[in-house]
Amino acid sequence: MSFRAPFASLALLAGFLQLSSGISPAQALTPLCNPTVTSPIIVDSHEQIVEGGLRAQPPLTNTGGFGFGWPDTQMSAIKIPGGYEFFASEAALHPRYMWDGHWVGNNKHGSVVTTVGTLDNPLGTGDPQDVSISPNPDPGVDPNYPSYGYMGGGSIYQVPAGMTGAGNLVVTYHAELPNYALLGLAESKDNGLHWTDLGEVIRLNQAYMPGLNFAEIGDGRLVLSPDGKYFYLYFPDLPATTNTTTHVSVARALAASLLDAAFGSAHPHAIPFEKFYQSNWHLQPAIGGASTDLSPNWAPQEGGYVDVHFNSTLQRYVMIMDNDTTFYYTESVDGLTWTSPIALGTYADGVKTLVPYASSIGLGDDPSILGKSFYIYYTYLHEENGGLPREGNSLRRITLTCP
Amino acid sequence: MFIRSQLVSCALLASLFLLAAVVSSAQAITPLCQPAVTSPIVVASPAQRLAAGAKAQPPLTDTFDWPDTPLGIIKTADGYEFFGSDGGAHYRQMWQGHWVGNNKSGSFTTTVGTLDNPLGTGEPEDVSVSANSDPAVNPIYPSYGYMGGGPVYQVPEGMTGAGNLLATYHAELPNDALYAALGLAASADNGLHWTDLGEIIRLNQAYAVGLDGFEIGDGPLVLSPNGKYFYLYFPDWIANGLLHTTNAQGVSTTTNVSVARALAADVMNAAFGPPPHHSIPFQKFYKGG
Repeated sequence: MSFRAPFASLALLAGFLQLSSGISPAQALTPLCNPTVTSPIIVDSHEQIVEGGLRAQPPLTNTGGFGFGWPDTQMSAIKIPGGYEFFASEAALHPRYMWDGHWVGNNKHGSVVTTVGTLDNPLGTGDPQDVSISPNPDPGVDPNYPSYGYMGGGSIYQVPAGMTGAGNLVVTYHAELPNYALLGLAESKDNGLHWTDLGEVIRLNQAYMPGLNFAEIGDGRLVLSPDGKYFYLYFPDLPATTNTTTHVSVARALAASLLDAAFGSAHPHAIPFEKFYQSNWHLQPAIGGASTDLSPNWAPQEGGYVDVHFNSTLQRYVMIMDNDTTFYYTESVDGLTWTSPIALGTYADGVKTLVPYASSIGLGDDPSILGKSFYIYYTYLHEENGGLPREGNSLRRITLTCP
Repeated sequence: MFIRSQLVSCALLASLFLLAAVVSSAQAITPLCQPAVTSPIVVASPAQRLAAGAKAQPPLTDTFDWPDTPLGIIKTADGYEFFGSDGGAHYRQMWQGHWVGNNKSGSFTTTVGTLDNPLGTGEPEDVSVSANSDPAVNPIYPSYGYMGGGPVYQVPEGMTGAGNLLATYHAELPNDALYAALGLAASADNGLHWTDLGEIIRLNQAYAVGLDGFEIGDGPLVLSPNGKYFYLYFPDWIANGLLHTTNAQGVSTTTNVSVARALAADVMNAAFGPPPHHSIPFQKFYKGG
């Protein structure tokens, strides 16, 4: 997602590192876990990524100079017999063309790439399915679709048995207007071979306008609320007329209603999300509304990409934050009040190297649920735009353990 | 809509009349009509309104503050049906065996009359907007202190929901000043029941406590020149970093008139097709696109 700014950008970092100005409850919660992490390992090298791109289906054509820019968002995984399916965006341009008797591509950067691999090699040896998000058949669902220059994601929710659309997939996508990012949802009923836009769900409080400095909104995942009724979606918000993002904000929608709208309707669509604001869920629409910074007192650098999962060992939510160089760990019982961040390590210098898109993957049957130990995958970028197509990039991993 | 300030308030008028400081294109088009207007006449006197309020159904739980929005009008075989909000509070009450009222000010009030007497002689149907059966359609519904409207669009033959009514409502969030949004409501029984379809337009300035009051009005759905879209006109307030409609230089950041649109067929399909009934996203016109 950070393909606009050279070196992913001091501007990007600046957006993440600025102080926020939300409300501030006392942080009384203490973490149950005092995490230790291993040294990083490379799980997919630059060469493997290049080779994966050569196998991608539909084949890459004109990538806009990016090559196979994978993974370009946070990623997620589903356990299957014999291994895992991994999902992440791929930064290349995907021109529209005829392939295998049907049209593919959407003339945008980004996609939803499915790979079949292992936790030690997410790319695997098969053909990555590099699928562009198609417009909704009803143009009224997302009138902004034609304007996106980027549209891709990797944060998957697989609908559980007993709910509308059981087994189907919902992905949070990251879409970009010029220098402006937002979040939407797309659905797949064929395990990622096709993705259909369900429309936008979250925009920054700052409206789109020419001349903005780019503010990263990430590509967070749908997380069930403590009572299981709502999807929570975490993101950094940008209050209007400021250059200061929140550390983390959250929006929600009723899970059952969302799945009904996505999979139970002849006209699939998303439903309105609401931003959490001043302790109230009923005041601010997630499209452009204001939000409360859940952790206004955190240090400026404690923010960035936010990745939230439930940890069944701790019986708490765990958030990994990634500011492009350093990762942080924090816990929550209710998803709203978070412990003070614990730094896990610094893995890039922020100038010639960057480490965006930290994504936690659990080691149990459901990789979206974390346990005593879990993996954190991230993209290692080296001199982006200084050396396209992403010379020296790789997918790396650390292991986090709660002793 | 003016539930907080009696006499409509100079502040409110001021906000409506402020010059906009946002985009400005030359107006090359000239009017075909040079309008002339008559002096005002009274078509519904205070006494008539008082009398009508005494007949309103369901019975009032507050004063009859009609009309509190622009009116919508449909021609019938015998005359006209008029639609306008009643700004009084509508407390929830049991009436004729079912619950009515939504504990909010505002309503959709239907009257049958003539162009010379919109109140007519019958009983005004003073109907609150009900929550959508799916609370996800409008999670903000519980927060509104005011919810009502008048501009009605009757779905024409050949379209989904033909004959039904679609109305723009004006909703207000709690504040010490006026912060309002626009939403849609639907009626499949000629105004006897109205169901919320959700918000469609908010100001660019997000809701916050302490904001200046700003009126968004209650505009009608208007078909675009090609007939494909609903246009909805409103004054917008562009966020300027302050709680005020003027920026640090004292210049207004409100628009004189802005417009948003949505595909008309899709709006009606979503409103009157398979449940849950809902609205669809409207897009504001911005920078020529």
